[in-house]
Amino acid sequence: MACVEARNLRKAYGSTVALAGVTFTLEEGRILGLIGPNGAGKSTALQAILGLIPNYGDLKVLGRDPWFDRDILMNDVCFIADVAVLPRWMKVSQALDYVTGVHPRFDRAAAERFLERTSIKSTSRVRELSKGMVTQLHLAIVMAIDAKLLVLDEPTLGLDIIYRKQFYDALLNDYFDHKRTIIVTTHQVEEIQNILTDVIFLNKGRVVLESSMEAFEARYLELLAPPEHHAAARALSPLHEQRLFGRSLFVFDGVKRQMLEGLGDVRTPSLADLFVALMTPHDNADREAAA
Amino acid sequence: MTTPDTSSPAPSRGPNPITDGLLRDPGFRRLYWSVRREFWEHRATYMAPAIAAGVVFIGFLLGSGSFAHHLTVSMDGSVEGEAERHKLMVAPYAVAAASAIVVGLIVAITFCAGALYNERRDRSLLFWKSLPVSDLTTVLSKAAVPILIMPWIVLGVTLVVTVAMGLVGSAVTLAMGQSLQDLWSHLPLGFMWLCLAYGLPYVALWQAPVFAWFILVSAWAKRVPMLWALGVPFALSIVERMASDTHVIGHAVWIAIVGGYGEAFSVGGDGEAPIQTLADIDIARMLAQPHLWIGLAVAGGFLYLASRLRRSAVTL
Repeated sequence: MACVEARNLRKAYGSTVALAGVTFTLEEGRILGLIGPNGAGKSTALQAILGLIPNYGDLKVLGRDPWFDRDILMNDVCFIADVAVLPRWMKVSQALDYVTGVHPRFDRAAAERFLERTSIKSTSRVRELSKGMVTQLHLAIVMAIDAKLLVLDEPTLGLDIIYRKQFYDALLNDYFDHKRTIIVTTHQVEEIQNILTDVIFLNKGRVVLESSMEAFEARYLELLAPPEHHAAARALSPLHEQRLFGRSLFVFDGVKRQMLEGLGDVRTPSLADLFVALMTPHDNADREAAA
Repeated sequence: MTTPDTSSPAPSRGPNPITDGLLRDPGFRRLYWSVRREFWEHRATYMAPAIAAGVVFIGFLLGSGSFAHHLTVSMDGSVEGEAERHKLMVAPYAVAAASAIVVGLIVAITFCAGALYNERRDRSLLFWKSLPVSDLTTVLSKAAVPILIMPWIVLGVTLVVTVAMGLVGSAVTLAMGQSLQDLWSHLPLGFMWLCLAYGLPYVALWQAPVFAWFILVSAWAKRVPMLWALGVPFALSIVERMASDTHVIGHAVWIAIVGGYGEAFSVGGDGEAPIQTLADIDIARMLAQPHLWIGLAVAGGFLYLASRLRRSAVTL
């Protein structure tokens, strides 16, 4: 059974189209990055997956319709939506008491072990904690839940770099076991590129690219070429060209590595660079090439 | 004697033996913990009635000297003097109970008006919704606070404070060299507790549609839920008054808020003479009141609507 199966998801807020027919399948044991600019529909897609908004189209999460079965689904799904949604009045011990009370798959001892590594005290109230500590607390709770799907919507927004790094390290080392599935959206694409197994680019409510990272690395290459090789590079019809200190950065789709190696430095493009390349209209690249 | 081990983090309190069996049911367990967490968040639900009654108690304490003096002065054996004495003796106890009840009601209404509004405003909605607790369970847990639990809190507060007042009163009476029998023959405390013990839970059920209305509006309003919850019935009753010169809505609201008190605490439920003896109490009549059951049905409808609204709730 696929973890998430979405077919033709549509959603509009008034005249603003948030999702214009999104279709994708996510298998178990994958880490999917949902990438796109603001307003691309990332959060809307996640909200539909979590049963927070009604979905138009066909959506199954772990075989259930999230809109009708949210409470049942949440036995197997966790999410950290944004930061700082933990109730500010709550004591750390109360948060653990409550989740222990209502969640059959919560391992309180595991959460406490995780919290021991932090400076969070069980008697503290959430409002007394720093933003980074609140995220650590939320992560401690979520990581102690034996869930099948974890959804992270901008989990590190507003955190400094140390906490962001710790967050993803903890996620990979202590949580991910190749049976669980993770969906993550973030603006800090470069921080998650090497943990993803799959990527989806969204723009204006549509899927622009759906790929595994293996396929992504095999398919897309980036070439940094000195001026004397520009003509040769352009002859291989790059997706995108960008000037960088006199040299040019080309992004290629489906061109063999050997064909590029003589022309300059070849590497896998960053997701951010590829996203820009795919989002920039092709005639733009042609015009630049002609200039 | 061993000192308690304080080095380990405080463990969660074990389940109450009474609820132990019920807690094995996952549905009940979620409801139980959801109700408990309401009291973690809203300490005013028990603190405010306690403080209100406590203030009356302090007033009683400070005034007990002159109070005792008044009692002695009016002890002239006349019928008027005797009635006056009775009033003087009973009044502080009634005032203590009434302030706990009134403050409890205000706290309950305020709680309901914020019930499904505050979680949207502070975004904690997204945390609650990440847990396997249904919207209906959440709404029911919030409704249980004013309808099922607060009456017992108010009762407990009244019990404690009136016992304390009785002890102080006894001490003063003894110090004045008078007989305790005189004091206690005037104080129908046992009867008062009995009336409150059945009356307060009954009134809360009677008022259920009022609480449910505030909860419904709290799930709907994007701003100032309290204002909407008060304003809509007020505006409707004005419109009705102007359109047809009737006051069905205003009357229904009035009955829903205060009708239960008359039903529980007056002879025959007619709101005239207060109940004085055991013979005046007629629980069968109270339970047979159609108003009670209509109100509960309306409350059920409001709460169901509130749970539907909460399903599609977004943060504000």
